[in-house]
Amino acid sequence: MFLYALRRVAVLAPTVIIVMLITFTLGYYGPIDPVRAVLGEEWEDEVRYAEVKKALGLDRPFVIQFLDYMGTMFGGNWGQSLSAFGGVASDRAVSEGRGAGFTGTSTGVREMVLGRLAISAQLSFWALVFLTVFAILLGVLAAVKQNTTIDYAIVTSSIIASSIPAYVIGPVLLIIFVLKIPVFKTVGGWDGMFSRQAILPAIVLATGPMLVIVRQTRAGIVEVLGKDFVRTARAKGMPERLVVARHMLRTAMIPVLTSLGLVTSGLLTGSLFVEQIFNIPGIGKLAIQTLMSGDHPVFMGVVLFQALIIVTVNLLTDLLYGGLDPRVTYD
Amino acid sequence: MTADASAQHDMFSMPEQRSLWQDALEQLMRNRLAIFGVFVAFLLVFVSIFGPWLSPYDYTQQNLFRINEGPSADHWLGTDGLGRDMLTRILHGARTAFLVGLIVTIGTTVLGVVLGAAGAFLGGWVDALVMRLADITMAFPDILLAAFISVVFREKVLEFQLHLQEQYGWTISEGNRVYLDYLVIFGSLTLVQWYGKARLVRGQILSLREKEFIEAERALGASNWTIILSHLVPNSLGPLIVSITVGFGGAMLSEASLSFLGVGIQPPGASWGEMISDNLGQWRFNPHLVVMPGVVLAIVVLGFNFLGDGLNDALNPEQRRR
Repeated sequence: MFLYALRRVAVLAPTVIIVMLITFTLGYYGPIDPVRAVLGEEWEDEVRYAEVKKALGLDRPFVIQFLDYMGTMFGGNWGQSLSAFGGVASDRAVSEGRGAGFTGTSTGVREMVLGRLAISAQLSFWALVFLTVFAILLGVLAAVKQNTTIDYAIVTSSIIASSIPAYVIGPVLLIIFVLKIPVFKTVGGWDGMFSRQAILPAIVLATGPMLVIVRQTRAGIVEVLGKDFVRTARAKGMPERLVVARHMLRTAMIPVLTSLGLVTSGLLTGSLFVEQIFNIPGIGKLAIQTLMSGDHPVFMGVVLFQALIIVTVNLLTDLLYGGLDPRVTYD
Repeated sequence: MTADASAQHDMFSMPEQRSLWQDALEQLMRNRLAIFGVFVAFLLVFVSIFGPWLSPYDYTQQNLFRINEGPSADHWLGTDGLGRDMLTRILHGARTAFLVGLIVTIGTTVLGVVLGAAGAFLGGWVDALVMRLADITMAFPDILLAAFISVVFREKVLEFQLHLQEQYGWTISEGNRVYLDYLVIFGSLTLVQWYGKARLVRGQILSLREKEFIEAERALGASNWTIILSHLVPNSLGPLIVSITVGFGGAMLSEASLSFLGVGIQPPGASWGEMISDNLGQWRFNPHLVVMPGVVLAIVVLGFNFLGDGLNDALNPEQRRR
């Protein structure tokens, strides 16, 4: 187990470096010239062009640039947004509500990514709350009413909720809860975690992993339904509600808890559609904005950071699974 | 080819004379949601082939006097912000979705089967390389990677096409660059989605190879190709078919997602995702413009998921959930 963990961690670094190499190469050969993104119309002025190119360090060979990039990433200072170099990139950044002028007024990639991540994380937190409350309840209900209409209805509706993408559910909920039944008046934007604006986006975000949690909970409970310890609990006169809550849920929750890790990384890396629909300045929105405007240092920072989340959560889930379930052995 | 495999099933587990495939078909027909999926799939194929003849309009034809209209007798689903007929664009979107689903599925299946089988059979550094490649692809947030590849390669493919035109006078198409979006989407989605099938095929082969009936076959002196063709292929076909069905829906969904983000099919090309993002600003005033492509996309994706689920229950009896 320990050796296995060590080997997995050892593979981590090369994986991250290759991820870095791929994003860097894509950015290097990408269609948007960073110098032109900074200079805008002025780019035809050769002197200014050379000046900015040198300031951005783009006059050096590919290998040197990549090594330098690796250095800044591993050094913990993730470089600067193109908007830091002024000019058009900066104007565009301000008009898009990011970069200089936006909360924190920082143009450092790390500050931008972490600042936006905070918003996505708050959104994901509410989505997780909805999931643990509703999806687990529905899963338990489906298991207890196994093979009845209620069971089929719950499983089928979770398949429906999880299959439909956020950019379809989002607008439909907007139309229902803003136009038809005006529950919400202001929609879009972000006004902190405890504002009413956070409710709809969090619900939409929670529909994605709904099916996984419902199915896992249902399967976990079904597995222990006929077990001896459940019968014992019933035999001592324990109310059915408590049997489910104290005995069944506790054993059924192990796979659910481990999958919640994967769900969290899925929420954090998959919130971009919800953020796009509800105009929330989270990490996904930052990625799309910077991809479109050619602010590659920031975009690459986001991709790399999300890759780190994915890799780490995958590793932790595998290890946790082995730790919680003694039947799982690693060679 | 499947005769041996089904004969074994008949002898040991099935009292009536039924092959795995007959049993699977019967199971599938009993599943109402899967039937819905089959219906959706057939409808999609039909519409994507005959769609353009079903409507009197062209999908790029604008009528600025009749923009953002609701459903009416001559525009059944209304018109969008440029006065284009919504129904026509949705029908054309079906063609986009089906083409992307088909080509990306073929691409990922070929790549996945070749790489997965190569890893399983050759072992050693080939296997290690394939698995590391899969790990690395998995480490990326897939939509962002596909978006990045699309943005980078769109320009490269365009340059290459202009180069061909200058050098050899080859003109692929005048003005309309929708074909370019298709090419880029096929490529980027195949590159991002191949690893699931590679891992599946590799895992199937590795676990089947250890099974007793393969060992028995080998002891009887069967050649490698006999074992591959009469045991490995039929036995791993079930999970692969499920994965292909689910992947087909997934590829269509990814295309819609990329187009929604503005890096997939570009206007005036018709894609359900592009139509949703194009009309998103109208949700307050003309909700039907957002809802209609959304509902169509949802129905198709659901259909393929139900079908995949049904096939999974039918083809992998050992995993049947109910």
